[in-house]
Amino acid sequence: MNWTIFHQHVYPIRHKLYRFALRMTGSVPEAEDVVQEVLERVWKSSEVQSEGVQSWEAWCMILTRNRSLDKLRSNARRSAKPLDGVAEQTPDGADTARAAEARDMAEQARRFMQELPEKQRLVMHLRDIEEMSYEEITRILDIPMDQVKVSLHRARKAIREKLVAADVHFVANT
Amino acid sequence: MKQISNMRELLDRYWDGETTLEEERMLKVYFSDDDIPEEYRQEARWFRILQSEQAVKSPGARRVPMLSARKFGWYGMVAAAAALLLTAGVWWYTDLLKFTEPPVAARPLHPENDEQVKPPPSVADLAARPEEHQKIAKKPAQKTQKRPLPAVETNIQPALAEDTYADAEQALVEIKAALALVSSKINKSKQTLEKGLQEVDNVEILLKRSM
Repeated sequence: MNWTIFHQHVYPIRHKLYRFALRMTGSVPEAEDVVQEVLERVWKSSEVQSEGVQSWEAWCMILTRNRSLDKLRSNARRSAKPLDGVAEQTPDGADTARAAEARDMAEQARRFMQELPEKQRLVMHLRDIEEMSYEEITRILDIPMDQVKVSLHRARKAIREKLVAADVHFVANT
Repeated sequence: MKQISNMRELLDRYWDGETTLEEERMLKVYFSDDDIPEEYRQEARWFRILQSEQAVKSPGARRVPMLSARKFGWYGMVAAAAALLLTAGVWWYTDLLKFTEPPVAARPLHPENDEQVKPPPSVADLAARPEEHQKIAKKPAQKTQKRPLPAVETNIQPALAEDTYADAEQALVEIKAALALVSSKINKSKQTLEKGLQEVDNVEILLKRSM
């Protein structure tokens, strides 16, 4: 691996890889491990391997998906676990009622997302958070495009329903 | 705040998964504003969540093994090459010294035992004296193996004494010149390597600062 390529194309997307690994594993330490292992793997890749790469981002995301799946299999974890350690990273740090409310809502929405079936959750993550095209999502998750579109449609519909229900509950309690 | 016409229709298409990336980005920008009409409360909440999720960052590299691994890899390769060259040089040099020593047979092996060691009989001798040939042939093989070989028998290998150089001094000079050449090459490689590693270290420092 050429240091310049690594520095320009791979290292800058480490946060994206981390978020994807976090979405898949549901665990901060494991997501960190996955990213570290993926970066090492890419860094140690041979020149021949590097020459065949068309999109570094897609390749790294595929490696992240595979490594996360390995982790999940080895740990026999359930993918729908709540994200531990993420709630503290919300930007609203001010100790105000509004910030607290925002934190609660954010945590609730994350939980909604984590409760989605795995495919829907990952498609939604790649589209709504990483802003990827359908083609990229197809390549990364290795599923047909129509499945990507159907999964996104179902995921958004489910989230919307949960938001409406939570909003009704929230309004009723205030 | 930039107004979006037909907002409800756009949001409906979003929830149905029919918007383009561009339209979705536009929605995110719109809902990043604090002043959002009440009717879009749920959507505002959702897009803020997406924004906060996009802001999640990796806690940072706990270690940078890819740099140190590569660094130690280079060091290891250079060290292995140097060790190999050194071993080959030592082996070559000691081997040469062994062959330039005076022949063992020329020195008295056992001064107290003055017995002359006879050279082995040639094929012509054996043909001329068939009784001796039979005597040798009848000797049991096991007995022959048990008999300790006299040190003088090493002298039977005259071919080993021959080498590229007849003069040991000249050979030594040539070896020294060859080793000096190898040494200069290693030193040059080492300098290049150190320069490269320094560059990597600089980049590593920059990366650590940027995190």
